[in-house]
Amino acid sequence: MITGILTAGFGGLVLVGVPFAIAIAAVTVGAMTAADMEPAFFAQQLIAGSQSFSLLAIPLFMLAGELMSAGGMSQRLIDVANTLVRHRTGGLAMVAVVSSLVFAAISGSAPATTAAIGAILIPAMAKEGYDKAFAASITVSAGVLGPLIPPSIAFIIWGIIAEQSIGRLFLSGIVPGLAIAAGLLGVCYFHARRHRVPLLARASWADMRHALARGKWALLSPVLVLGGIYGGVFTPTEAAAMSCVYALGIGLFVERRLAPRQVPELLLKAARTSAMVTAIIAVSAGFGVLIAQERIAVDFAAWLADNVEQGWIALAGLNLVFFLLAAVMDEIAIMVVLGPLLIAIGQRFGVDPIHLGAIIVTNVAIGMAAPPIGYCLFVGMAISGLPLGKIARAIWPQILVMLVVLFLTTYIPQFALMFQPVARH
Amino acid sequence: MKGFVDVTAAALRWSLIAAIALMLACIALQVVMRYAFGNALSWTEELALLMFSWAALGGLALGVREGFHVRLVLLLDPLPPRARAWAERAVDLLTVALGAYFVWSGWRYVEFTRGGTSAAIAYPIELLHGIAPLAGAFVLLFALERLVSRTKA
Repeated sequence: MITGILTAGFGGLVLVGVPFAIAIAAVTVGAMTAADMEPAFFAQQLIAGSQSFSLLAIPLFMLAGELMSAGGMSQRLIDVANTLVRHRTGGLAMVAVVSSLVFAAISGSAPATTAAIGAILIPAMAKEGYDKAFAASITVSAGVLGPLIPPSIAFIIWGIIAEQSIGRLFLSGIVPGLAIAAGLLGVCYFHARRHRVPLLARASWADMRHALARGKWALLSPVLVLGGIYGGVFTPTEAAAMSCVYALGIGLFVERRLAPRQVPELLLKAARTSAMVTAIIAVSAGFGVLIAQERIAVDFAAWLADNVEQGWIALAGLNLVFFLLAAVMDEIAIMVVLGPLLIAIGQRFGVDPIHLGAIIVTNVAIGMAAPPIGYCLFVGMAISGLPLGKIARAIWPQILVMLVVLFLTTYIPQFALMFQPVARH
Repeated sequence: MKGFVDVTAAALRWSLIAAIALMLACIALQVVMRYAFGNALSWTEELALLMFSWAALGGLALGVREGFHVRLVLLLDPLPPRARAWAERAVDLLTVALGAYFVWSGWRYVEFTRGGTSAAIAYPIELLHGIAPLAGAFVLLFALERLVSRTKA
């Protein structure tokens, strides 16, 4: 009965259009009532679910992204990338990939990366002779670098669910992220060659120096965030706060492209986008306790282990299920709802927990760009004004690149574990 | 009723702006004090977390008002307008019920833990636990307004 409410009940509510956060809360209440539990448990878990210092990084990283975009830093990153690669075949599309890669090292969010880069480059690419649907699809797919390149909101959430080091999880996304970026650069090249997109003139040394001089503050930002975390100077949450302070300082006092009266609006924007994520996480604490009590995840993993002997088949199944679910479900909701199950499967088949995290977050990243639903996709549709169908037709080569990287990340553990710190004695 | 709900929503929005600003100020101060003055503050993290709980649960309520919570409309979109309106009403009704439970559950939780204090600052624990019934009341109010305005239209 309780298991039915938590699984089938949840699925039913989501299908009839109940928001994920409300659906998780509703089935938790339903199962509590069926089990005759004290109602205060619900409120207690809500508060407990939100009292996590690591989660605090989410609104702060969202805010840092807003401040950087409003202060013109994403424009400057694009200018630097532009002078470096624009003259190549598919150059301007490559600018989108390269500047997304750098922006991803500042922001931890996929839709924020697509928004910051796409708002400038989708119109610019259309002007330079690119098919607009391709322009939108390349910034949508480059947005997935946001959660893979550290810092990353998705890795923070997985770190909390799986109780793993967030710093180590961040590092496991670097190689998958770089591999996807490299694949996307290839897509840009072949697209431009096939469609004979006109070449742009090579930037002069003077232009390059000028762009670098103007872009230095933006380029220093990833150094502050990542250097701070891996230099042991601050925690990921503190890094998020320092990144906001840095963006505020540069925007208000150094470059002065940010006005104080803009700040409340940016704070509210960050509150909204982070509430979309944190609401789901807060309500899932109680849900998780009930799942654990019912032993749903552990029993299912045990059943799976009895019926599937090879770990590689289990991992292929995990990836397939995640990909299919991501077509109808919010990726963050998949992580929190299926988290206990994914962890139990990982343990049963002896997958390294950091490696498992990289597999999960690569799946999350792909889900954000893959049709029919995904945060990056929605942002790309909003910026370009194109319908889903057009972007969906243009994005398949990029999704294929990502699936190849997912395959490599799943079956070559070194992909995820290459940059892990060596254990000290 | 609409005027009252608008004012409440505006107050909620400003409270979230303040919560995020205060969160940022606390964490930034914590880092600066640790490195510049070699003084690790004991209260900044606790205050920031209190603000975060409000941002998360108050934000949950604002999402009900503004309809920004992520959901699946794949099966709703093909419905004829009347059937779609009924489906939306059902979602609103479920949210109203959840809001009411949220208030009740939160109130009981506050009652059970009354008189406690937080670990570092020793603020009354009702401040933290009271977030649950308060956010629940916002959810209830906003969901009711959606339901009523949909019925009128």
